[in-house]
Amino acid sequence: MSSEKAAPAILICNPDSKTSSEISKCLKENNYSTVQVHNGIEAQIKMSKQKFHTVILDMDTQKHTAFEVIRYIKFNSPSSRIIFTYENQKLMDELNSDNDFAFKLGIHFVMKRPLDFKALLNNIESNNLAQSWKNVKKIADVVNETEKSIQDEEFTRIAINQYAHSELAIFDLYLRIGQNRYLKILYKGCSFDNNKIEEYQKKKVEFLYFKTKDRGIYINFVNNLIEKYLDQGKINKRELLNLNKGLVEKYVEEIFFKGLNPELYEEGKKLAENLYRTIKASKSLGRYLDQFEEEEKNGTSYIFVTSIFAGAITHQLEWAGPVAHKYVIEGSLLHDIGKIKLSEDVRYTKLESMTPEQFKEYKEHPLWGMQMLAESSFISEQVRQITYQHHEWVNGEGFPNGLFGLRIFPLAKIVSLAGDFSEFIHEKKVSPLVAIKEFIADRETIFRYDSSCIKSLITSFIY
Amino acid sequence: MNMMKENEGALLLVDDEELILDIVANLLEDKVNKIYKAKNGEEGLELIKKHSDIVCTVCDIRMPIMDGIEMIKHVRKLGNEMPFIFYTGHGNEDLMLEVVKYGAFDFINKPGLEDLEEIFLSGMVMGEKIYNLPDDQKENSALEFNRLLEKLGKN
Ligand SMILES: [Fe+2]
Repeated sequence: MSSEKAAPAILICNPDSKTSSEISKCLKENNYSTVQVHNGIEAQIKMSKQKFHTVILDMDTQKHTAFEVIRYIKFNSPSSRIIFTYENQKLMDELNSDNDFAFKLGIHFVMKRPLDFKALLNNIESNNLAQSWKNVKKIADVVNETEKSIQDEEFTRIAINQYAHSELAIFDLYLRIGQNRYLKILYKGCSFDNNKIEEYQKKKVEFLYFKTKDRGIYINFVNNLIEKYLDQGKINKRELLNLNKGLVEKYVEEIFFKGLNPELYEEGKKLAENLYRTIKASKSLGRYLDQFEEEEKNGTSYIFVTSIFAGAITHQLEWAGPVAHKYVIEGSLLHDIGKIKLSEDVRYTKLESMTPEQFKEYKEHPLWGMQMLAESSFISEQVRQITYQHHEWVNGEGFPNGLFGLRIFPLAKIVSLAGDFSEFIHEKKVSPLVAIKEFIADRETIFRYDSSCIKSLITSFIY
Repeated sequence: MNMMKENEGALLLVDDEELILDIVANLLEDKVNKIYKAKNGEEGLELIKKHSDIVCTVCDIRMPIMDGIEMIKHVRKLGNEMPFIFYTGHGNEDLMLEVVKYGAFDFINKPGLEDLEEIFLSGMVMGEKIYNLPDDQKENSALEFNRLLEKLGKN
């Protein structure tokens, strides 16, 4: 795996070769690689061999028709974006009589020919997380910091010691100095001034802020960075875990507040792969986790810890191979997504203080999560079932279905243990190493979980 | 994971599309001693009753005569907890909610048959294990946990 990825590939499918080479020329000038085809069958063959970021598909495509090609994309390459081009306005009006033609077919953008190349490029660019930070142009450094009044809702924050950066600032960076008041400390395109950040750290500044609209770009950037570090094997494990932690936090925020789309899901898969490689590279993972200072309880750190333990358990399990691994970590990242639908008073009430009604509602979150994931065809059944069954216990006392051991989906048993154990750590406010001993000491507790999973959890602290 | 043909047990494939039956049987034939094929749940159920060497079933959800849900319900009524691996595809979500109540060991996402081999192999291994579960497994595990914890203490 190399960290320097080739330019994102675009497939142009247009029966008219003049149009198609014009599009290709424009894209190539902007650092994209392109493949041109002139009918549907060729398009499908190309897609079966290579992954495309975007497919620019013309309505007049024949031998398979444009609609057959769209169907193919939805099933086989769901993360590819579709830009649909057309010339015949009358036909388009007929197709689009309900005004939801594009939505129904899952088309991302519709354009009339002759094409406005600038608009085309803009659309691709704004939907390409990687290109957004790779194409940042250097500007002259701005020394002064400017105070801005911007609504708090527009920002997301990250712990200053978790912020990952490159040579140039990939977006504007701020400090929060009061309600709706921010200090812009770095401009997009300026050299990243590490001394400045360190100065702020000395002054006990805890968080950096950036615009929420840039969060996707940040996720993609950090994902790439972690991959690079893993390839080179140079970074220390604690730093690596720290980076992963910050990334999971931003990823979960993005999903919880903006929803899941194929591009973000691809980031999640890569994140899962990175987490898995981090876990494999970390001997005695429990020790590393042990070094994390106890933080205020927040959902995202719970998800990070759960994903790490679920990955570590899977790594030790005899019966779980690489496919299982992939699903377990993806599932760990998403398993509590149904909590978004809980009413606020339930979401922020501790389990033991819930009224029977509140607990009844709480028990719906696995089903709600499963249903939310069912809306996206690109999510695999394993991930959905982990979400649905992550509160089942092997003694049959879990929910929503009270399934017994053998009937619980095995990968959900892993996430069930990892999740409950992470919860236990938070509740008891003790380190994982102390927690594991207390956790296992309770005989009632251990009958809730698969014994091979418990063994693997303990083992992950030993070796 | 070991590539094995040491699987003593047999595999049952249930699907109303014969093409899929053939493709999957072809993919797995050198990994297992015997493969039985059935075109719907009813045929599958009969085969399970007749052949006690079947330890794992790969099963479609939607089928004529008897679907995957009805089939697994009947198999469980026989007291048989063998692993069931279900094909799933977009549009089957409601059926999946129902079928997992009877125990789904794993899933194969249609239309791609990716991951088939690993999923199938762990299903076979689990299927064979189920018949050899010791009764005092829980006690054994508790002892083993303690041993591991002691080791942890020394670390
Ligand atoms: Fe949960």
